[in-house]
Amino acid sequence: MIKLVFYLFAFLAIAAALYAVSTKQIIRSVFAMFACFFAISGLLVFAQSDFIAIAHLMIYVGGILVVMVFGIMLSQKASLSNVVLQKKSISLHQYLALLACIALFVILMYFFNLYAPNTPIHYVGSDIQILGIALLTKYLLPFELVSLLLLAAFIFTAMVTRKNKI
Amino acid sequence: MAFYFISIVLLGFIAVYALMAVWAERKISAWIQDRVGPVVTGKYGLLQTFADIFKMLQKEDITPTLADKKLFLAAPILVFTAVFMGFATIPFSPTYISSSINIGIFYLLAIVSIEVLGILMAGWASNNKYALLGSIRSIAQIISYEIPAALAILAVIMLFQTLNLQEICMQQGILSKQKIYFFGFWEVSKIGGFFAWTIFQAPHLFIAFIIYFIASLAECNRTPFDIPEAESELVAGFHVEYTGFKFGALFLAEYAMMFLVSMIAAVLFFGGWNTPLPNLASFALADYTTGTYWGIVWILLKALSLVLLQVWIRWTFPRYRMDQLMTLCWKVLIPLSFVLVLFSGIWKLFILN
Repeated sequence: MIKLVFYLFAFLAIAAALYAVSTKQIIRSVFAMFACFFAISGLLVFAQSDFIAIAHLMIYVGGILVVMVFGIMLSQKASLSNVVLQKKSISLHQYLALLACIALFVILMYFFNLYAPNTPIHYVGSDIQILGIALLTKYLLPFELVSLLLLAAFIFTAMVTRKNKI
Repeated sequence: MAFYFISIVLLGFIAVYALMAVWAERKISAWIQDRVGPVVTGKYGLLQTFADIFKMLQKEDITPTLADKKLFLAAPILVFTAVFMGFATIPFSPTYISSSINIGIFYLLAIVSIEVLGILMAGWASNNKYALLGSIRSIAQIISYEIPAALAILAVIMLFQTLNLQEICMQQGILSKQKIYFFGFWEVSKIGGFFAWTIFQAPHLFIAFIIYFIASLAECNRTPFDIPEAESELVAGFHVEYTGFKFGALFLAEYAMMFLVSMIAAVLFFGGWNTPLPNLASFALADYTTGTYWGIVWILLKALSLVLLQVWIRWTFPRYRMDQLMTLCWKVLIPLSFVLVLFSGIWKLFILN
């Protein structure tokens, strides 16, 4: 039963991702991406990292996806209707993109095999406490740097969208 | 097996609750406006909404010709599923909680953001300008009000130091393992009752409750924040094209959402399944009225009273304008809730130590 659910999530993630890149309607591809993100957060639960799963859902679905939908809705109407594909034949830059994807996949798999632990990982219980302590002690500097970066982006957005320049 | 049984019972309960809440809303609005409300069907018009729902189920299921048919069908399902998923981490009694995960409240905040996407899907798929405008307004509003709601919740969980809703409930009554202080000076761990509730544990938490309550009204699209479905300007907002069963599902989701946010408020601020009766002198009322069945009774009573408050507010306040709504959120509630978070830290470090 649990294995079935796992494969269901895995299938949903791949199918939704493929649909998102192949569909002609932009808004549908956004909703397919939602299904993909949802399935990936389901897979993360299977990886026993439930906090990451929910954070994934919150950041991608609640944040990034909604902003993307806003972008689509506020853009011109031509982009809302069906996008017409210009050429049937595959051009050079598409081959290059495919090559880059394969290269990325190979590199990822190589490092994944290199650093993957041989012994199975055991669930150690409440992971949010461990995560919180690790973030505020061992990884404090990157944590603070990321928050500084976000603050800078926030102030920049406020500056750009201001009507009256300071 | 128990898991399936309870989820089916919960679904049935939410359906019946939604019907009764619609009836109660019509009755209360009638009393507020000095009318009588539904009286014909059944005693006091009690069967009115049952009659309405049977009428609705028989209606023709219309899909607009130019609508995106698959998304139009998927939207009500997504909205209702998202709201119903939220009930998984709500504790109903000291012994019963569907899923006692240690990220309970964080999960609930994430679930609310899925509902946003469902509303957007409904508004876009209808291919109707009113629906699209309604859903854009709804999203702008829900995303903005998620911030003060999350910060008010943060102010509470900073004192309890857990995200598990069952443990939050535990720390507000006689079953607590930690010591509880009434406003920081009087130990009430063994007295319990309403003295041990969150809003009486620190002076600033009542303000946190008010901020959370305002934000939850906005997240449910209730008056005074009902601009997404403002009847007088947008017909019905994002669900204007929906008919029959799909409209019923959206309506059910709206009332289930009201109940869900009231449940969260009851758990976080009003002691969840803890009894309001304290152990005073020789009357051990709190000991008698704590238990599985009492717990279910108390939490439902608290949540339903908050739903009643929402209904009362709907028929008392006029609707906000969009800019007033955003001003209230970004310039009043968010700075105030940041101050509350800071105050929670100070309280935890200096008063409770």
